[in-house]
Amino acid sequence: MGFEALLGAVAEVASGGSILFLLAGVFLGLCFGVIPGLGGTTALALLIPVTFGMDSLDAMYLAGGVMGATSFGGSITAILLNTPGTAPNAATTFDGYPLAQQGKAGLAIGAAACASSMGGLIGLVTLIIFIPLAKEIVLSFGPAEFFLLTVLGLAAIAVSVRGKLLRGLIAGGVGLIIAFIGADTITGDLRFTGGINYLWDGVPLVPALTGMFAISQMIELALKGGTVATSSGQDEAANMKISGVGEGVLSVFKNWGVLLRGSVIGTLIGAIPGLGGTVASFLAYSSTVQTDKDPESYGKGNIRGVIAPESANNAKDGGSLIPTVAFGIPGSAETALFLGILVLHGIDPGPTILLYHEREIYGLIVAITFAAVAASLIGLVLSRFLVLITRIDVGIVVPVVVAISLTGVYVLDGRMADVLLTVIMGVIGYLMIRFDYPRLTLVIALVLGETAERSFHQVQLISDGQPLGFMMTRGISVLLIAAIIITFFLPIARKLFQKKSAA
Amino acid sequence: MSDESGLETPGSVKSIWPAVVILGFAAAIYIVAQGYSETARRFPSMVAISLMVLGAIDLYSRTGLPGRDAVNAFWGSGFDRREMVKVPPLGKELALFAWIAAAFLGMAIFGILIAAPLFVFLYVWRRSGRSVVMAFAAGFIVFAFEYAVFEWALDYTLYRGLILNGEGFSAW
Repeated sequence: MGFEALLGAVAEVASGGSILFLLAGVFLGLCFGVIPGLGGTTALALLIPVTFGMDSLDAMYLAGGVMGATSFGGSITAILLNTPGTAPNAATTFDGYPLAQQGKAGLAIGAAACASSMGGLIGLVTLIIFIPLAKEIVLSFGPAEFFLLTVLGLAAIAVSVRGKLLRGLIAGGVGLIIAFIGADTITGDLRFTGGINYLWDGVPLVPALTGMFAISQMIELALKGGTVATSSGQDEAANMKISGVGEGVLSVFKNWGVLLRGSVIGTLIGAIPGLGGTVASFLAYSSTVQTDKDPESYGKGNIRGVIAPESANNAKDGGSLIPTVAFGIPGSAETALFLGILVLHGIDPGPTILLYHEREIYGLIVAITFAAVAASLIGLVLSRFLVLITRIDVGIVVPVVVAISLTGVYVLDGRMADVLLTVIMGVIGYLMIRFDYPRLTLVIALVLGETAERSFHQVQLISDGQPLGFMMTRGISVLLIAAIIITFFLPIARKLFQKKSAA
Repeated sequence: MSDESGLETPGSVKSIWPAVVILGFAAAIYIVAQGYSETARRFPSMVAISLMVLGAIDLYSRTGLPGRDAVNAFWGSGFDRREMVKVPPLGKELALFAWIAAAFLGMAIFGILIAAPLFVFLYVWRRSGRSVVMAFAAGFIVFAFEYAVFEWALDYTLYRGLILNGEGFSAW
């Protein structure tokens, strides 16, 4: 069934109709990736309402195009302007920009393009291999495992938001409480609605996500102000000679070990909810430096310093889809928004997503695979023009994104209350950024809240009020409990180990 | 206390008030939840109690009381990896909130197709200080996008506003 769905998705793209959505997504992803502060999350938040009325698979192609292309868009400005388009591209500046300054911009861009594509492909192949296994695992799950899985997902994300465990957990708790608003799934009692009819069905996911990511991000960007890159830097980039692209592409195959290591690191890091591309690319970069015979050459224009972070950054997309498609736990802000698109198309983003929506899941995988390659090809051709996008200043980008986001949210259900909710969530999201509470854990708790509560009640019922005793009799539950405990104590163990090593 | 960039953490960020708000919020949720049936209140009560405990730890970690550093080390409650390094003045923040609230109110009163481009035009012109021509171009692009994508391509009628809609709050 899985293989058939995969072939079906490939055939649909090959037939031509869907490729337009895919290319539109790729182009949008490249443009948003180029502009620092925007990135894939804003692009996806804006896209959600645009997919309204589309076939669910076409929506996947559009979203997949964006998800597959943003990271390479960000690396173009990282290399040419020393300005990473997205946070994970920061590692590419270390050697990419020095190469550009030495007149080897084409070499660096060629290597980045090829490493991105190859890394993306390796990550997605891993995902495809993992899916049948994940399906078997999900089929063996009962309510106890689903409940523990949501707890594990939240714990993993809170722990992995580096240096913010406490506030990550608090944000997760607030997210769960927001998820409780509306009719209780078991009794049907209305809770925390404050007498507002609009809240009877709970807080809708898409306006909440749009507010949390698009609006709050725009508020932050507006308060930072300024332009994206200096005009002198842009002039320099516009006049830069971009040659030796083919040599850059070949350099990736010559350094296949670096590519493979970066891709494996990216896939593994991506699969851990909450870690994301920044950790993946920096880890890949530092491991390459540490294992190289000539570590002194890094930071001065070593092509391996471009290949490692770029391959890791794109490979993490496949990795981050593993918890998302297998267990319904979004591993990153982008995958949380992807779940928002699924909700819009009537798909329940719960742990059983893989069992009932293979068509959409494989469609997304095919889309990201194509996008990873297409973005590199398009990016190579348009790199000089894409740099010019950074000339658009924040003073224009912010109101445009706010206006389109608010309009898009209205289109979903034709309710102005959704627009108001988006504004409120945007302000809450901004306050979370300002006071240093991670937004990701809140959003993921909001997504998982209903599943967590329903599973909890089911376990209570089938265990006669002895949930812990019941869980301890089930092998998978015991494994999950152990995983939760390890997740919580791993940072402490790491600290103790570091202290011991330092002593 | 400073972050990775070497900047001092602003007083408003490390003050006790965010933790107090969380504690108050969790307590309110717990109290409200007690009014529901046993099944309906069980899980929210558990989460509210957990949130109160976490809020109390957060509050303690923000004080100068003994053991604070140990709490910070154990719970990772320091501020050395802030997402927003520079905190803007309160007046600027409130002004921006007012702009976004105005965008919403404009859409509610005059409708999306009028208010969204108008918001973009006014924002680019007045707040961002760009030329009228540039502001008009930005507003027109938004109008063209919204009309082309939503009204024309998706065949969707955008909200016409309380004044022009004639149906009051029915579309809310």
